Amino acid sequence: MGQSITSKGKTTKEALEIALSLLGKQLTEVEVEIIENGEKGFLGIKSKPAIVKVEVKDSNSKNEDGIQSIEDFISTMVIDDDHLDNSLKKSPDSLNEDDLSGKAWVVDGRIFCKDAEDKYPLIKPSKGVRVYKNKQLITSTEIICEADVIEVELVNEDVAPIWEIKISDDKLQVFLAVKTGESISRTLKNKEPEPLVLIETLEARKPLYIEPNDVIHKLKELGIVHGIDYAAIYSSCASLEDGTFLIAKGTSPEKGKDGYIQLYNNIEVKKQLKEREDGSIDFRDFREFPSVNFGQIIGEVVPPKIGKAGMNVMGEMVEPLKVYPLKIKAGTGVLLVDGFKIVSTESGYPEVKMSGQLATVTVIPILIIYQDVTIETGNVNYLGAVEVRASVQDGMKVQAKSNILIEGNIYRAKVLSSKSIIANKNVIASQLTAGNGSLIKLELSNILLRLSDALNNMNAAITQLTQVSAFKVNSLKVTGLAPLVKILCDSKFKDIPLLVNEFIKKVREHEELESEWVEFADKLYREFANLHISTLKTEEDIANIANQAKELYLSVESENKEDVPFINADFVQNSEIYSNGDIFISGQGVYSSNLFSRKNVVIKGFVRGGEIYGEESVTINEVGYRTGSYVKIAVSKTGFIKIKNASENTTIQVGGQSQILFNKAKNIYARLDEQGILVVSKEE
Amino acid sequence: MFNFTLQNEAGRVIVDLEGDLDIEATEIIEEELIVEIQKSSGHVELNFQQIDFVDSSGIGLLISIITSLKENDRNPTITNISEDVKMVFSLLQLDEILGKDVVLL
Repeated sequence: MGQSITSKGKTTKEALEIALSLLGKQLTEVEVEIIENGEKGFLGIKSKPAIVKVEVKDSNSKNEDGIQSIEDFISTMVIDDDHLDNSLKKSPDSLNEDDLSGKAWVVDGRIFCKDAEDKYPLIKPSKGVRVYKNKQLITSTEIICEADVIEVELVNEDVAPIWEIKISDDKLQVFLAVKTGESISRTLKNKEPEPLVLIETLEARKPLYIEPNDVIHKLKELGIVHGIDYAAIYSSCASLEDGTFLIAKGTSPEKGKDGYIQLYNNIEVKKQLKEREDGSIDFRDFREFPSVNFGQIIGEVVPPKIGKAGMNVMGEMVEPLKVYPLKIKAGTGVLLVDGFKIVSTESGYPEVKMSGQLATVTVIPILIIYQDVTIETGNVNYLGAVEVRASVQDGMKVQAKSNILIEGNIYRAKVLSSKSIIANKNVIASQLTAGNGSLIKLELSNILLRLSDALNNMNAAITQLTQVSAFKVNSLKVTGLAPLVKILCDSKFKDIPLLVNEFIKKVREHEELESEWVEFADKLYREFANLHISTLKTEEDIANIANQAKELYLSVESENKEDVPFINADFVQNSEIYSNGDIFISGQGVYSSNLFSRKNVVIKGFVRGGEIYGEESVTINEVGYRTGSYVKIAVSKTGFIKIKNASENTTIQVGGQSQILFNKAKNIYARLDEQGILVVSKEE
Repeated sequence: MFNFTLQNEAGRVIVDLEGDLDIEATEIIEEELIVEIQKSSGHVELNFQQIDFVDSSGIGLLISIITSLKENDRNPTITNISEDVKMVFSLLQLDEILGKDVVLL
């Protein structure tokens, strides 16, 4: 036989519960002897406690009947009459009595205590339980005695789940926003006898799920019929976490394709630099510009392809995004045949200028010079492109608005193009400049962007004003918008006259600008610079001007992106090369020259002496050493330098930081790291 | 219709304006009102209590009247502007053109 304990309670059941909890055993693990059945007194007076003796069974003699409830067990117990006379106070196990005196404890959802002569047991309720002592709610620590009637009320909580159906603005998606709910049921936590017992609860939390049918019903009510994902509804209803779940998805319309120009082979001006996937550069050796003869088809206009309609969750058709046809404007040297074939009427360089969905195609005439440009022929200055099939000699200047191709040598001469230059032989002691025409357009386009925004804002202000009841809109029909525009230009939109004047002034200073710039400047002058003669009638007129400004701006934007000027030269010595785009040196290399590029520099051969600057990158096969020569290779702070072979004394500069190589090195790669510090990796 | 009455007081003249300050009013303003004000002297108060509607021509003229009165040190003010007209004034930021001491918005 093992440990035994004698305990006392108001009833036999209580006494037994106490004993079991003290022993920490199940009913099946003990032998029970009821010493005294309790007697219920009136209102706790003259009541006699029940007394039981509980003894732990040997572990191998476990009761095989399974677990009985205490009540069942007690009802089957035969009470030994001998113990009936045992008084309450004279409990046989006096040690146990002393242990419990002045203490309170909790067993199976009930609070017990044992009086003592020198102290009172204390209890203190906590969250989730309300304890009443003689029908009075206890809020803090309280003394109790056996005579008190202690009642316990457990607080159970149900937090219902919250859900909401959200439909996306385009009605192509439906979401279920879920805030989970739960039910909290509490039971009293058992407590060992202590002088002060905190009455605590055990919380059992059970999630409360959303009823999927409610959601489905609501979808129906909202008219959602297409693309419902029932599995998603069920899984999101049973989600244990808050969240927003996609429960229906419409069919998105398929995007069509806007109209575009399909150029015929070899006519497209391909971008010069193409990086291969391994990072090396695909060097296209351009020996000439793509050109067309008269009568040749340059390309054709491909009509827009309409996309496929979709269906939103309401079952309504969703039209595909509108596709726009390409509008084509036949510029000089171009004829449109059958409305879609672009045919050249001159020989020259084809040029396509995109602004939005308007393409202007022109064929730029070429001036071809077959003999050397010398004092006898005079300097060349041409509005189109120039091809010199011979050399440019000492002291001469070749200037063109479009591309320049020089087949022979350039010796002590100047070559200036607003576009690109190809020099197929040697460039010696000369100056080459490409892409200088785009700078002013960049400046102008920035003004136009600001002007377009300001005009749109002014239109918004006018719309707002016309909605005020005290403002007489009808007068505007008589006077036009000019008086109102004048007031607005004096107050809220002071920048408009400033921008207009700056634009007009700049355009008039640069005669070489195309007619579209001049015409727009004249229009601004008419409508805004002198409001007495302005013909602005409605907000639409202002919107049109804002759009025109935006289109001109965009034409510069796209030109800058698509038509990057370049200089392609074979061999350069003692020269100055400036390009607003790329520079390629495709032949032997560069001797003692300065190269400056707004984009990339690629030199297939060697560099001996001079300075090479590329804003984005410089790639050189070999930087050679010659006694007394100075070589500097530089890029901007965001650029990088790649050199395959470099001799000592080469200066490498990225941003403002430079390094001089003391030894020969291979596979040099230089750039700034994230902290802005120059990092040069190389093999020596 | 547009009307006005002038009250000369010591050191100032109060102009009560009535009707619509619009393109049709410009004739009366240019040919009569401006002449009458020029004959008077002192501080000029334009009482807008009975102005219900304005248009851009009327306001353009108002701007030029106020500007010339300021140049002649007549300390012009505009008073009793109705809420609706005030809305027009503030959308046009007239307080900036005329001066914050001329029109209180």
